[in-house]
Amino acid sequence: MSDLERPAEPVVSPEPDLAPPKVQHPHTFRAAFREERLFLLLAVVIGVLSGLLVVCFRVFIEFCRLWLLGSEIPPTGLRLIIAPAAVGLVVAALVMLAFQRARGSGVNQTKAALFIYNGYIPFRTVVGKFICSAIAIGSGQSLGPEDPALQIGAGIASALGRRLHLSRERVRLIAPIGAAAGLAAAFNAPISAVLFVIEEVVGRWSAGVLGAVVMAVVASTVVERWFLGFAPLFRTPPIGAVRPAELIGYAALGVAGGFASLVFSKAIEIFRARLKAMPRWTQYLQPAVAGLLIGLIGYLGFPQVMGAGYEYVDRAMHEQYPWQILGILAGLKILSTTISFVSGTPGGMFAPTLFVGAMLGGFIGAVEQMLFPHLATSSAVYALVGIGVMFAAFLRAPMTSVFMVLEVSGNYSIILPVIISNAIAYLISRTFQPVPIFEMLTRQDGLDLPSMEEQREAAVLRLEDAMQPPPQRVLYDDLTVDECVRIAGDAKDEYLLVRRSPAGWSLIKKDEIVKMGSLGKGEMSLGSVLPPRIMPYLHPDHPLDTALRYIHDWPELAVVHRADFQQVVGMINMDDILAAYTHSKAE
Amino acid sequence: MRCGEPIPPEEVDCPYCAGRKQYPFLHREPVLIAAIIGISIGLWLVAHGVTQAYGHRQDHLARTWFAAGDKELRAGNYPTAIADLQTAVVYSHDSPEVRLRLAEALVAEGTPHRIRQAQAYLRALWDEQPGDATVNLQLARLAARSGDVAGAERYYNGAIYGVWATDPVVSRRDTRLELVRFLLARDLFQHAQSQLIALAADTPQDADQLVQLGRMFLQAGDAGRALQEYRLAARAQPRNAAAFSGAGLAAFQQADYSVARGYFQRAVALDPADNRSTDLLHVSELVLQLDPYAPRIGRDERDRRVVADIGRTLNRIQECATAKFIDLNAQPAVGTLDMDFQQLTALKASTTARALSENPDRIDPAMELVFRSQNDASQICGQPAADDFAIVLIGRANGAGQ
Repeated sequence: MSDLERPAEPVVSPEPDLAPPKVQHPHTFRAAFREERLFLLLAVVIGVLSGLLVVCFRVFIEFCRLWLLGSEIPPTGLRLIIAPAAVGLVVAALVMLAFQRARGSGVNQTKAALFIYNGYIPFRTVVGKFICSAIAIGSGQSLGPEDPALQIGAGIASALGRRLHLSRERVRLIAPIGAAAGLAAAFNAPISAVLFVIEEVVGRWSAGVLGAVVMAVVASTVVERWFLGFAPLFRTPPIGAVRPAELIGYAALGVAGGFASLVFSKAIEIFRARLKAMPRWTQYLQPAVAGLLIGLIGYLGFPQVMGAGYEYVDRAMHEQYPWQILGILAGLKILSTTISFVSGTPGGMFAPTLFVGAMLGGFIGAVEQMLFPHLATSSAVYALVGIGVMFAAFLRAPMTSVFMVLEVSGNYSIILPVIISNAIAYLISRTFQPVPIFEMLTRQDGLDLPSMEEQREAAVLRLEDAMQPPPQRVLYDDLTVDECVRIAGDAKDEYLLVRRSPAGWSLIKKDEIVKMGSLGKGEMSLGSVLPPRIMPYLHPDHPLDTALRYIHDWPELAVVHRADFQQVVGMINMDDILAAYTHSKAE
Repeated sequence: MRCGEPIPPEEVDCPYCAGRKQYPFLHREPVLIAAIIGISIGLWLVAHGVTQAYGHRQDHLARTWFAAGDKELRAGNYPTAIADLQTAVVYSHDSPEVRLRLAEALVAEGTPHRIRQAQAYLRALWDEQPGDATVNLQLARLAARSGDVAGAERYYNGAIYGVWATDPVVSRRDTRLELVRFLLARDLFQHAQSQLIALAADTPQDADQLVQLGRMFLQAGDAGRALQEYRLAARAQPRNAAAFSGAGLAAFQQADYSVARGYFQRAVALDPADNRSTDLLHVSELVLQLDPYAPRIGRDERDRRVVADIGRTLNRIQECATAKFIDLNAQPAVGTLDMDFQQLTALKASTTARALSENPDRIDPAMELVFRSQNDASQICGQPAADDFAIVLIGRANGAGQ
């Protein structure tokens, strides 16, 4: 009976075999809880604490705005110029002298903490981010609170993890959990927060992380809604059924969004590099100059571009602006956010991106309504789709962008326009700006963080890409050594595959069989002279690096069929693996 | 490094526990957990305090800006009112009242852009509360303003059957009244009639309201129900001239001239300055005097009226022809008027009371010619005098020209 004809036996595939711990040190308290449960509980605590801190952060921003710009919306008067410029000086001093790590949006800093500093975010950074971002945004700098909230959440989680003496791996895991909780509390959109952190910060789906992230996000959202209520940051317009012909308009929005994001990221790339290259003392003045310029934009008639701008997004979604104003606001927001961000003022790009998207969407919708009144139903719906478009194209988070629009609108009838617009914008942005904005920023900072986009799209090499055809000859452990010597006699292979009973595969060197025969073990069965080790089961769809874990112990590895472990579908060795990697790199 | 992990080979003891030994109290996990709980509670209290403070500030600002906007709106300073109310909206996200007032201010300003802005707010409000009567009413008015009849009717109905914050009965009646006026202005009489029937069921026994209802029924072409409403009004207020005048008009439109005359007489008696009732009373009396088909008149009287109607119609044709410079004796007759004249002249020559008495079958053809000639003259020369008008009305009542 050939190997292929033998009946299949139900065998459980062994898990990757890590070295067992030498000594487990007992601990009374932790023994009461299982590690995972404790971790989930910790995620809830992180969610609550992040939620509380972000609630305070949001309220602090509002108080700063009231104190600095007054209660009128949009603000008016000379304070439009004075407040952001003066606060710029204060923020610059704080950032340069006390909170160096509070610069920037917070997303990259969190990623850097995750991938470089083992999840370590100093608590001082949390304090700095809280204070500097709040007064900067409150004074009218064109930045948003979400990215800082993300870093604040991650910082809280990191501090808690360190305090609880969690392992390095757990501290690394816990930072994104806090990040998601912070973002959820800032944006009041839990699904988007989970997706954004998975898509942009963690970069991979893992059941362990996902469960904890969801728990933390739920906790932080509950806390945020407990204190700030259920009112969304902006109300979405009523959405009717979208006619097929209208999809052309949404495609146009996608094109416009793609190019707008291109302008936005290019502007940041160019001006940030130039400002960073300027002498260090200028960094004390850059936020103030940025504030002055943005204040001037506000003073000259467009105060809407100051601050996060959600109230104006709300207005765009209620068709409160004519098409000219919408277009101007989209352009000026790109300009003012670029100015604020490149100056090193702490604050996020999340809200400005949504603002630009809403204005651009409203602009396209209103123009379309004017030119083809029978085609466009409402420019407000275009404004809603626009926020997703800019999110997909500028922040390069396509999946989050789709779910974000669905989440904030609560309406699934808009899904087709959102997918079409976002996909077009994303493709345009990728084509003309291959390096995503966050990656570009990290490169400018001299860091090399993993690109989530590349990770998502990297081709995974599998065993089937490297394996060789199965061997012609297979030995069985019930054969005698002499029989095996005869079978192996004219075989060219260095190693021979041995079918073990009742299940499994093993490997023996041809020379060893011959040697055993010469030592007088010819009458013994092969199984009795072989060590009891069984080769791990590998399948063609396993990633290639799985084989690397075992190749040291097994110079040749059998790749078996998933439904029939007795069926060998290929063989793989170190040379095959290296050849596959070399070939993949060349491609 | 933490407890529970493998102890590294180079270490003799758990490094975590070594740290614990140095500061045993601070490293006890119950202490840490208690500290976390304490921090959470503290942060919770801080968050509670700041959100409460901000909430109060927000409420205060919302009220202040709303009051300012409302004041400006009442004063007719619409741009300022809009700006103030827009600010109030930001501080009172959840308040439909503020958004509704903003929409009202936008509508009041009245430019097309502002109207679009108002529509957007109202649509959003409607989406949140489709049963809100005020929102529906505002949307109905905007739809009516833009000529969207179906939309207006839908929103008006939404308002009528929606939830009113105060005085729902009166508000519903007023809204239905507004809808009826809109429908009448658009000549949608059947739609108006159905709304009027519902309105009549809700209208109290108030003479003025009943008169108004009757007037609308008349405008919608339902003279029967109009008469009912006027009668109720007259019963409720026996000295209400408008009720009698309206009832006369309704009866007049129903071609019930005898009843109409009674009401007009009462109306004129109550209000001698009511010229329309006086005129219509005169016409009604003429109809009653000239109608050969009137019941309970003798055969002689009937024949006499036919002969008289022929004579009057001939005069009307001649007067009309003179006014329009038409030659009635043209041979052969080519125009409507000269043909009518020649036929009427021939009819008059052959028609006497005696001849009609002997041959009553001639009455109908004769009156047919009279009615047709009167209609032709009216078309050419316009509104006839009272007696000729009376003959036209008699013709209409008897199906002439149908």
